[in-house]
Amino acid sequence: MFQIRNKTILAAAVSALTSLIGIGAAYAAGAPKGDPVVIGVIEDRSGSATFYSQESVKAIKLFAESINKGEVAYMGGTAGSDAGIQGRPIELIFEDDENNANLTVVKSRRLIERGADILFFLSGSGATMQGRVVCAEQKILCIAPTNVSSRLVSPPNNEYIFTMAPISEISGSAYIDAWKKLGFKRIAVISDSSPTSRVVRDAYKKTWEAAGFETVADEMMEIGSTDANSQVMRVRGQNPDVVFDSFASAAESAAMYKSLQRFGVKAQRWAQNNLTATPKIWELAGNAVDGTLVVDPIGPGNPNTDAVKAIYEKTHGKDTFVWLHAVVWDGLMLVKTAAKSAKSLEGTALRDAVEKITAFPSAFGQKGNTLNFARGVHNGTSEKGLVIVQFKNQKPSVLWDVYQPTK
Amino acid sequence: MLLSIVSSGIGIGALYGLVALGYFLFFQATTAINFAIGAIVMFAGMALAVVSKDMGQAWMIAMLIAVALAILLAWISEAAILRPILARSSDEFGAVVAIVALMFVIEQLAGVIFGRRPIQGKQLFDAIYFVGDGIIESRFVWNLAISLIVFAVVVAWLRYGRYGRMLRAAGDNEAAARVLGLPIRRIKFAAVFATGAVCAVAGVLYASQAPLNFHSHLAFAIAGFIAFVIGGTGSAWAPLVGGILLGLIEALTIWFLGGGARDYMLLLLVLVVFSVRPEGIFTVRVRT
Repeated sequence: MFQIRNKTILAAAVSALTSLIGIGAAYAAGAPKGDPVVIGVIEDRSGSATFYSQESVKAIKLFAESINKGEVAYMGGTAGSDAGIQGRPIELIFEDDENNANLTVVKSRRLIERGADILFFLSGSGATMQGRVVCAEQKILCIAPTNVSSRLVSPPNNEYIFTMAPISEISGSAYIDAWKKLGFKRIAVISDSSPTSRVVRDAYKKTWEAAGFETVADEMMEIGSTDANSQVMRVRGQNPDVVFDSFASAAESAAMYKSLQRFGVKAQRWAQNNLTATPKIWELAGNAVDGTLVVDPIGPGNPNTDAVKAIYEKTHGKDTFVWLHAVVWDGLMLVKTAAKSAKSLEGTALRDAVEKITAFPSAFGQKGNTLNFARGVHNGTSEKGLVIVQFKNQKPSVLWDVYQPTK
Repeated sequence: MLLSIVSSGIGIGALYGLVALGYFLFFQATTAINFAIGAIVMFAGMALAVVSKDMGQAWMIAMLIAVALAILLAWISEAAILRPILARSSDEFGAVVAIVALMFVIEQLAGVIFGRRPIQGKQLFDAIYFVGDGIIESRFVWNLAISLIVFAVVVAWLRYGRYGRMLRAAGDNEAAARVLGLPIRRIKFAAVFATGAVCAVAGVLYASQAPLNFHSHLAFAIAGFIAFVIGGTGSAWAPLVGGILLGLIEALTIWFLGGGARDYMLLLLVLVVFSVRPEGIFTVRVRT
């Protein structure tokens, strides 16, 4: 019996060793080597942006792993098909800023102290506004892939920060073109009381008012409220052409859609793309969300989107991919591309390299969409980075057949 | 149209009244303001939603679990936090800080256990009645009806129940109650038990009509506290009156002045109450 047991252990050990050698050999072929490229990530684990921040965190973890394995999908020609960044493995380190702008600065410095070569901001726009000061001060490349506020890439302190998702002015312009097409003039906006919602609302409102549209109602729903009945009735009383959803918080957004449905508001419903980034809202709002139109970074028909979606959904399951994931992929690929040409991880060299990137194939937008960072703008997108999708069966499943952004 | 606003204000106000009743009962037992009441309401609501929807358990089982958890948390706030601190020092500041800390512990615990995304329980009351050019939602009618029942039970318990009557005696003068040999610890447990149960009812009602997330408690804590302050401590009905008044003021402010004016109005309301009638609408009457 003793001999049998020893043989079994020996066989198991040999088998395990063989497997390890096998795996090692396979991995060694393209495995990144050397000191890791440390990417410091500002996330929100406990504040009001937790839900969408954690969606972005899921993406950055998965895509960093994919890049370390040399899985770069369609990006081989632009970013290089070698594993990792500059052939070195990506290592992620995290700090939670609770979507609190005061904490973002402290946590950004902490990430740099812990050895971060590059910073990624995956928290709210309001928080990143403060965090970007550290980027300029420390001269470190910062990417805020999911933030859409154009103020982030506007002076001052914008020298080292880049965003990937279409900024609110570009999305705003797409909304305006669509509304002009339909002859709309009167806009009602409903937002929640979170700083992110207010920042986004202000940006969109400024854009449409500059284009001659009238804001006939500007209503706010307090975080924690269970319905928006009073706000919706005020909106209904103004008889707007459009009700624009500028919510950042999923629970309140869903409650607002239910209030709109209950009170039979006839105006066409449009939403900023937090709605398409947060499937939880679709689930909570039920069919109240159907018919809503969104200028969204992703839609059907882009093979790059499909390629990244396939990588994401292989791990996280079907129908889980949203635009947040696509822009996080692009953010990582932008760093990989810049690092390839800069041959350095020094902040100014990386920044200069990014500023020379043109024709960067993005994972979002219309088919063939590319980003151009050589125009002096730290967001490389145009209206081609957007599609207008409509909710049907509680999903943003239909490309709107009336108009699509064309500039 | 005004009917819709008023019914909404009363319906939401009835929920605020339930939260305020949690404050009231805990205050009767301990003379302390338990700011973790909102967090207990949220925790119970999220527990109901997760157990009934995500875990697929029967709604009644989920509700019983929610009630048990709310009672446990209310008990922890008294027995494990407040009592040891007040036993060491009569300084109430330390107790308030500890209670606020507990509130955030419950918040993060809810995030870890139930997830950091919004969740909603089964929609129990979703009928809508059209009246003129306005609507009345059935959930508001149910909120008011259930709140009235809960308040009636609590009032009856305080008036006729053995521990309820002893709670009133101990609440008026704990030292005298001790001298008389009343079982203070059991009285407090009964009051804390009732606090937890009331919080659970509020949480279940919230979760059955709107999504909750781990941040929802702050809104409940603030609204409940303001309703408690407005109502005062002179009657067990006071929290309901305070809650409905608050709900109405809130709904009418948003209707007439817009959502942005809500916070200013609530702040003004609290300032007025504190400066003009700090004891609230209902005050304790003492025979001389």
